[in-house]
Amino acid sequence: MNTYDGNENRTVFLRDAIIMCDNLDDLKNQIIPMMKTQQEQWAHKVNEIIKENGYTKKDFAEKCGVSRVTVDKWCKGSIPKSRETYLKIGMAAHYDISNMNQLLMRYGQYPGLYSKSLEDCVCMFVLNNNYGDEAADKYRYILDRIKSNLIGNDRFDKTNIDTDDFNEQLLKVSDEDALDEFIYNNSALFSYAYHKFYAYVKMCINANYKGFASSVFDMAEGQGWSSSLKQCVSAIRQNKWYPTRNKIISLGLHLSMDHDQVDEMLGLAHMEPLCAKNIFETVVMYILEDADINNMLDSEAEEYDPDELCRYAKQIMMDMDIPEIEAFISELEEIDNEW
Amino acid sequence: MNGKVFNNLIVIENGKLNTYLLDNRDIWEVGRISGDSRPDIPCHLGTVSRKHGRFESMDGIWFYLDNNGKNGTVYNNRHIAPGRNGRIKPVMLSDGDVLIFGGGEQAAINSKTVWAMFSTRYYSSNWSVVETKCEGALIITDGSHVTRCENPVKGMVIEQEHGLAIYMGDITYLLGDARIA
Repeated sequence: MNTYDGNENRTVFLRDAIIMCDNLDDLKNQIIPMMKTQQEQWAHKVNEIIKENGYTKKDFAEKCGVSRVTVDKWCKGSIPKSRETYLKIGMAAHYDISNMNQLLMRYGQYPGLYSKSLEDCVCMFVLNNNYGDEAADKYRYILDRIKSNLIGNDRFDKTNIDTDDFNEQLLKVSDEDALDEFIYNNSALFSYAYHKFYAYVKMCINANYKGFASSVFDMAEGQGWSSSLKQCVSAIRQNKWYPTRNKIISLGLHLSMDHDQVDEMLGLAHMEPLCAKNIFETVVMYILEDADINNMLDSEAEEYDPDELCRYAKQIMMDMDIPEIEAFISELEEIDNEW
Repeated sequence: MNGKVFNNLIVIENGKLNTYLLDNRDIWEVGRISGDSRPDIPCHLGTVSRKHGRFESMDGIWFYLDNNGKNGTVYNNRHIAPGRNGRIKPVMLSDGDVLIFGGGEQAAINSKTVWAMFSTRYYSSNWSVVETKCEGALIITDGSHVTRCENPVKGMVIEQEHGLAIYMGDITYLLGDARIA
């Protein structure tokens, strides 16, 4: 616990240090080197998981649904890109809920499992019921089945249940039929979380970009969002899927949001605020602060341009030339093609 | 109280309390009455802009959108800053959220500001107003249930199962079974 508190202090320190950066060189030379510790810790952990479970790298890659090359990169310190990947790694490692939470929070800097999110609810059921080697497959199978059967629920009257009580109820669910029933009975609660997230995005568009689009769909089409981001938004609209952390950040950049608004969206998806503990988010935090302080966006235009920040972010990320953020730049690619 | 959610706004300006059932329409403009301008939630103080902001529903979720005027709005003790280059930052509302219009960046409750609270509770009775001269503690009862608040501050809201009390210094607003002991 002390270690985690120490990490939190370090995060505050890093956030302040990012704000103090005058330019990209400061960020690259002073802040990025501090990120290396997390990568070293992760490399040690993933190598330990592979060894303890007697996996070859190829087996482990299959279990996690990634390529052998990706596992090689992890073993050298590259950080997995999404929280879902950490869940797969934890299941491949035969973790229980406690170990899974430690993996998510300590090594991924993600929040722990949250039973009111549908994905986490299914994950907790699988971990509780000792599926062993089948855990990851079972998780995916159950989740896909439930999502395809989940009916949108517009009655959000009774969604205010205490999380501890909800966890208790979930712990008593002992088989798949009971899980189906549990999720059906609480479908309003699961749907409500997605519903609020989508309403926030819609309201941000409605309040600022009426001249560009009358709906999130129009916005996505009109502004040339990447197909994966469009898919993500469509899935949220249907109350079926939370975006990954990086997709939420991408959405924030595509709508020229500020730091508080990105944190607000992360909070609505039950995630921690932006965190200066990995290189990608450190760069994003720098971009959000820098665009504010240096007034990088066009304040003279008659209408707000939703993509302003996105273009600026891409330019900064390309100038940084850091492998850890290359994958994210492609998220912004289709906008670039329109230039 | 009822299980169904009702979206209300309680507004107190210069000792006068009004409640608005937000569900009755999708958008409620907030502003100062002036000339031919009569907003849905009318205020009288000069510190409130004519077009101060609006409450707006999006798929059943209520938001407050501030127009980033001169004196602005404080939301749960935090000033609502404009978004990037003056963009509007929607504030998603939850039960018990408090807004103070017209006080600049300060969350002071006084004769120059308007206090408002978003509530999702059902109110079946009328409000009553009582004078309060508490020395040290405010005691609110709701049937057999007693809540004691040491050194209450203006704007303190005491929610009980069957009642609600809003302490505003010299006076306290009571709803339902809430009473001052």
